[in-house]
Amino acid sequence: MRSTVHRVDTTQLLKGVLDLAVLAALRDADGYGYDILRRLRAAGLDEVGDASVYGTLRRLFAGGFLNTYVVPSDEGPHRKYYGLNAAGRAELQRSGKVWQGFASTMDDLLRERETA
Amino acid sequence: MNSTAQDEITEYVERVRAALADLPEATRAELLEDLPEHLAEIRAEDTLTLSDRLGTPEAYAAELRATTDAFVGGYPEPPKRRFAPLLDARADVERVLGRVDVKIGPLIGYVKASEFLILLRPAWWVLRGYLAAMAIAFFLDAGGQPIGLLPRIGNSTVVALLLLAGLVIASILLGQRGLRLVKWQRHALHGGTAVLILFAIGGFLNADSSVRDLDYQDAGYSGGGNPYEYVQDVFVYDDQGRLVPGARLFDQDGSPIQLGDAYCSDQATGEVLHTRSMGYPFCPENAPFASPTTTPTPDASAPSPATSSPAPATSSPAPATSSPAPATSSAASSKEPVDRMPSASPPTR
Repeated sequence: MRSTVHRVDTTQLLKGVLDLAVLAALRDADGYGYDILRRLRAAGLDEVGDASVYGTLRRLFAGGFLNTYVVPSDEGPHRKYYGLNAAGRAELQRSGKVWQGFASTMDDLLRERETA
Repeated sequence: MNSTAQDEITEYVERVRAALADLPEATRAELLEDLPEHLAEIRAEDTLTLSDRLGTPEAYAAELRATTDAFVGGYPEPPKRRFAPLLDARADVERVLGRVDVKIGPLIGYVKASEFLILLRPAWWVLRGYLAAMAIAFFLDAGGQPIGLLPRIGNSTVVALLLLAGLVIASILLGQRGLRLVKWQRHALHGGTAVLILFAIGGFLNADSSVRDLDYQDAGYSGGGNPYEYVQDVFVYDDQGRLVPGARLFDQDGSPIQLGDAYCSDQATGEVLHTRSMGYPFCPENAPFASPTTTPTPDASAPSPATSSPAPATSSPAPATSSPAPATSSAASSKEPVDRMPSASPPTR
């Protein structure tokens, strides 16, 4: 069945790399949910939604890649911070390599098409 | 945070929950666990309502659902359940138990050992009732008395039996009705069972050690404590080899030494009678050595020729009465040896 063509759009691509994106956003500093969303958007991933980040954080935490702790806040609700643990860092490195390999393959492929 | 914001969050979460109703329970719980706190963080960022900022709860739920999908390239691992190590350990234990179940079963004539254990269920219900009664009696009667075999509260055996009967019946009913228990009730039942089993093990070890302590004392007595415990009677012989009737034994403090049983079995009739003797032996007829006193005349010279030698010198017709005479005369004739040799004096008394 080749009746439909998968058009490349950012939302679909994001779905495959959201875990990696969230892990990367936590590489240098721990953060709470909304904080991480802001980091991703500041990095250029405008399409990413709050539910995606929240759901991804929950799943990464459940998968044992993150640790978490609550920080009391004076002017608002307590914030739940997430941070990478050893498994999270290892996963970030491994998945990062997979992504770079994949991205460079796609780059090469596209470049060949352009030159051909 | 004010209460309207709180209500807004609660309502939003409920609508998300409803939109995710078809997800597996574990996944949904995982997703929703922190959602109220997370939304409270968002809500605190500015004055926009949650719907204005995040879209409808249904849209939010759809986006949330997308994050649970499997990822291209197998990354990351499917979400693990919480307490994964514990659940894995439980699965391992269950696997091993299953194997043991099948292995042991044939040894006792069943396909699986668990089939036999299921037959034992009613026995467990009765035992459970008994243990529960014992536990209740133990805690209500705290420190009253050592634990016996009945669940006594105070000293009443009737109360103990009533309590026992009541709890055994209750336990059987609890087991027999296939009661549909909700989660916490099931947990409470399992927890109670665990407590009962610990209580039973404790009580059993306690009872075992107290019984063994008694044995130990008994063993101590017969072993090294009293080497004369087997003694039933005491026979005293004088230096002539004659049985001394009515002997009394005393220790260094003048206390009488009690040995043996003051009963004799009549060898002719087999009757057991209290002894008529005022001292040892209780049963003179059971003397282990034939005593020369029973036949004094012929044997008198044999055991001690030294003392009998004076007898022929004085008078031969009456040997039985003659022996004291030479003794007194010899004592009278030599007083100094008496003083020097006290051992010679007893015959004179």
